[in-house]
Formats: sequence, structure tokens, C-alpha cells
Amino acid sequence: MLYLYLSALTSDEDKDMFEELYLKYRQMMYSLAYKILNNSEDSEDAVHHAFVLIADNFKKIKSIPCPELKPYIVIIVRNVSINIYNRNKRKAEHNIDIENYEVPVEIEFYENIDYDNLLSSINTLPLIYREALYLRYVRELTTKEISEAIGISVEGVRKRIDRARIMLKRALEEGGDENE
Amino acid sequence: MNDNFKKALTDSINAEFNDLIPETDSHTFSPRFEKKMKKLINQRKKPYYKLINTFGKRVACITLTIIVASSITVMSSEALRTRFKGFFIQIENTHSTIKSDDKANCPDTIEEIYEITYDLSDFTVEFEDYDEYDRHTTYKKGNIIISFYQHSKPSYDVDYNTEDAEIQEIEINEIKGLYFLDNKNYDHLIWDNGDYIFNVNSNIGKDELIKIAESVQKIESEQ
Repeated sequence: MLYLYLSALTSDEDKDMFEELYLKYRQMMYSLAYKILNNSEDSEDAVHHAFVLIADNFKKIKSIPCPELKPYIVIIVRNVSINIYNRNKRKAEHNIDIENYEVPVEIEFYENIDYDNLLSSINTLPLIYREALYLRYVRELTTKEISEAIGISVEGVRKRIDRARIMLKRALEEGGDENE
Repeated sequence: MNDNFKKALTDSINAEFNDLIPETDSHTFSPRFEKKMKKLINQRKKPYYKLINTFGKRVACITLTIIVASSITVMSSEALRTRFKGFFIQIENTHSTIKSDDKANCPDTIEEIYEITYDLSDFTVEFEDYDEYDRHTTYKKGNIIISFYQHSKPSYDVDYNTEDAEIQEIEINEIKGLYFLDNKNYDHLIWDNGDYIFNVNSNIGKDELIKIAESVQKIESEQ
């Protein structure tokens, strides 16, 4: 095959774990891809491509505890499916209008905000932005690792995270205004 | 990092995904998918270069000179699809999917083995992957890499990196085939001998690669 997948599955242990993931999650991944793509062939391509990305980043994935793997895998297949959808439709990536570009707030900004306020503000963000924040700050992936995991450019990841932080700050401020 | 922030993000994501994931597990995956996954699972070698993960980042500059001259039919604005010299080719931005367009009177699986007979004694076999549908051997000497593939025609469905490539017609032992130089400076030759599809690709240089391709011969019958 010229698409030399050539993943970093370097041991039998990796191979077994990868196969286990494949058998466990492939139906769920397919269903999710199909929900976005509404086409069987494209959905299978999305699942396959997602597994190629998983194989390429297997060292990182191995370090994630099993119960926490599902969101990670969902994010990958969702983003791959969206990329295919956009490619098929020649549609630009969903672009949030941020007028008068703001400097994103430092992450420490959120340290003094209580859980309920944070959760309700985070829930107002479109899912792709929550996913970007989750991968960066919960899974602690670098922008390069996120880029490799979900198949978009490093610059695209940076922009997405910056936008997410700006939008979250706005949501928190608006929530705060409402409470006053 | 603030624990509230992490917890709120995690809870938000999990709640969303619980609603998002459909409760279905009845899809029967296609043989094409199963085959690709089997290869992926069994693949444990490091890449020579990575050809995947390049979705739509750049507009490909693909000039199919020969094919265009043969008056192609553009069936979609998204992809060029055409037939050429026994091949069905679908050209995307970053790659082309090539299939056999002539699957009559050929074996469904690999029944006869073909190998390169050109002297590669100073190369080492870096990678081998054989199954009933495809055979793949990669040879290496220093930074020179030669990959040889024999595909059964009915299952031949391969994505090639043709980003910035120009696909041309070429003859291998008087059989017309396809040639292109990819954007990693690997030359590719693809031809159909009537029974099987062959592909050799390498950074050894085009002239040398043609000699290697012309040396491909039937070796033995598989029992």
C-alpha cells in the first residue's frame, strides 16, 4: 500500500491494545461518523483515518487511562469526519466571528472562578472549541500533538484554542453581568 | 492547572458525548475497510515518510497530461474521475485513488508470485507483508528505498500521494502503465500485466527504477 500507515505500533503489546481499541470502539466511531457524513463509504474512511491517527499517536494514547479514552477517541473521529465533510462540500471550517481580535486570557484567569459558573460558561461554547480546550488543558497535549491527533494544522489548533479562551472569557463576563 | 477548570471541561465534554453517540452497533463493515484495518493492525514498521494526514491542506497541482489529452470526463467538481490504460483513477487534492478498470479473466487472489529479478543483493529486505490479495516488499540500502507491490486486480484500490504530481504514460516491457514523481521525490511506476497490478516506487532514480520494473518476473506458484 502506498499509504504506508507505518504507525508506531512497535510491540505485540501495542498491537494487541490497538486491536482491542479497534474492536471496542469501531461501531461507535462508525455511528458517529455516519451521523456527520450520512454516507457509509465516507464514514468507513473516517473511522479508518481516525485509527491511522490513533496509531500514529499511540504512545500518547497508551498513557490515557481506559475510562478516559472514549472522549479522546470521539474527538478524533468527530474531527476527521468534519474534515471529510468540509472537504466534500468545499466548505470552510466553521468560523466564529471574533470582531476586533482580542488577546486570549491566560489560563490562570479561570483559577478563581467556581465550578458551576465555569461549567455553564463552557457549555455555551461550540463543541469543537470545548474539544480543543479539553485536549490542551485536561489531556495536556501540546498544539503539535493535538494537530496530529485531529488532523488539522498546528496554526489551526492555536487559533482554535485562542478563540475558545476568548469566547469562554466573554461567556463568563456575560454570565457575571446577568448575575449582577 | 485549576482543578475546577479541568473538571468543568471534562464534565461538559462527557455530557455532550453521552447525547452525541448514537446507540447502534449493527453496521457490517465492507471487505475494503476490513482489509485496510487488517493491514493497519498488522503494520508495525516505522514510516519512511508519512503520506497520510494531509487532508485538503494545499491545492494539488495535478496535470494529467496524457489523460487530459485523451479527453477525460470530469464527473465532479470535487474530484477528477477517469479511465486510463486499464485503470480507474480518481484524483483528489492530495492523493489519487487508483483501481483496476479491467477485472475480467484475472485471478481473484495472488495465485502466482512475481518478484524483482534485478540484482538487489546489496540491499536488505526492510519490510515484507504478504496476504492473499497483495504482496509488498521493501528493500533498503543506505537512504535508497525500493518498494515493490503485487496486487490482485479485483481488490486493487490504492491511494497514492499525487499532491503536486504529474501522472504520465510509460511503457514497461511494452505494457503501458502510469508514471509519476511524488512530492517526496519518489518515482512511481504502476502497470497491469493482465493478471495482476504491479507498483514499484523508489528514490533510486527513474531510469534505474524502470530497469527494476522490467526485471519483474513470475517466480513460483503458490500452493
